[in-house]
Amino acid sequence: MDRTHDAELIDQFRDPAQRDLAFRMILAKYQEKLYWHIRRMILVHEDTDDVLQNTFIKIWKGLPGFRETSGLFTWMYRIATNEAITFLKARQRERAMIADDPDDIIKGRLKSDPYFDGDELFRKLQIAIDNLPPKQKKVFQMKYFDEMTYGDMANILGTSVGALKASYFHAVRKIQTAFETSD
Amino acid sequence: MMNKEKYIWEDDRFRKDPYKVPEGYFAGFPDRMMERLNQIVTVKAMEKRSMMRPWMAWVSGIAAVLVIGWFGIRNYYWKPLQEVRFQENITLFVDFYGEELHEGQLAGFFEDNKIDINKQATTEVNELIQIDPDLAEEYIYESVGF
Repeated sequence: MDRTHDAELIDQFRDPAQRDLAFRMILAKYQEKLYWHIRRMILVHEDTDDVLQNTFIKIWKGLPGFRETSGLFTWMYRIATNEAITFLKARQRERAMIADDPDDIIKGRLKSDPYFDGDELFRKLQIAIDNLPPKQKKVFQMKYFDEMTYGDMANILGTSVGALKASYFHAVRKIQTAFETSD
Repeated sequence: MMNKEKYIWEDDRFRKDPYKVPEGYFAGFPDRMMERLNQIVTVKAMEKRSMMRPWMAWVSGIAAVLVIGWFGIRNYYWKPLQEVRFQENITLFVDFYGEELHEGQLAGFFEDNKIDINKQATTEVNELIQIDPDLAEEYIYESVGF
């Protein structure tokens, strides 16, 4: 049913006369899901807003050629994930260039972010997650926060279930180590 | 404390988002997004136009010169030439038929029946006259309908 509705939206989008209306419906339907997926990876609202907009620009550009081999949401989720990873890689490079302790930057940003109200412990968890390599981070977020099955994750990310389990295991180990070594 | 923290992060409360969004963020997002997309589409269209402008200017210029030239030639040279050739063909017919055909009769007949004598008959008639005058006569009778 949902997939049928998505197919109708795609058809409407391909008709230039209905394009704007169809895209507004896609935005209304999926903006929150994609926002929270990106936000958990990027943490800060302002950055998430930028990445979400870039995601929807890519969706707008890519939708005319979308071949519907996967569901619309799966396809959009993949775009959002890639956009978030691109952003994270750029942020990691930037941090490595400007700070001795990259954690200080994210700590500072979370503290000053008016749209974050987690306690100190949660901040510590977020920093530990943020220090994971982008791929492990993505797998951890999807499994831990989005509670996705490995099968769904494999479908979205185009990886094997075994590789995802290994990534998740490594991510958990690193987060545990981060908690153990923090004061 | 350290050991306690090690397991604390696995607690379910961490699964609840500590994140918030500005008030009205999701309600206003589609409008902001559509505005940005329209800007991108407009800028892209302008870039496309500005990229094509020098090319189009050249093409328009060349096209204008060609059109003006074409009409100039057509008005000042081609039409009189056509008339001359038409006249020549009529003369050819009259000469061939001697006194039997009146020049005015032929010209009127060609015009009434919209026969383009320059295109339709001249070459064939000329060739036929050279090869076989009787066949040419037959051809002219058939073409003209006498």
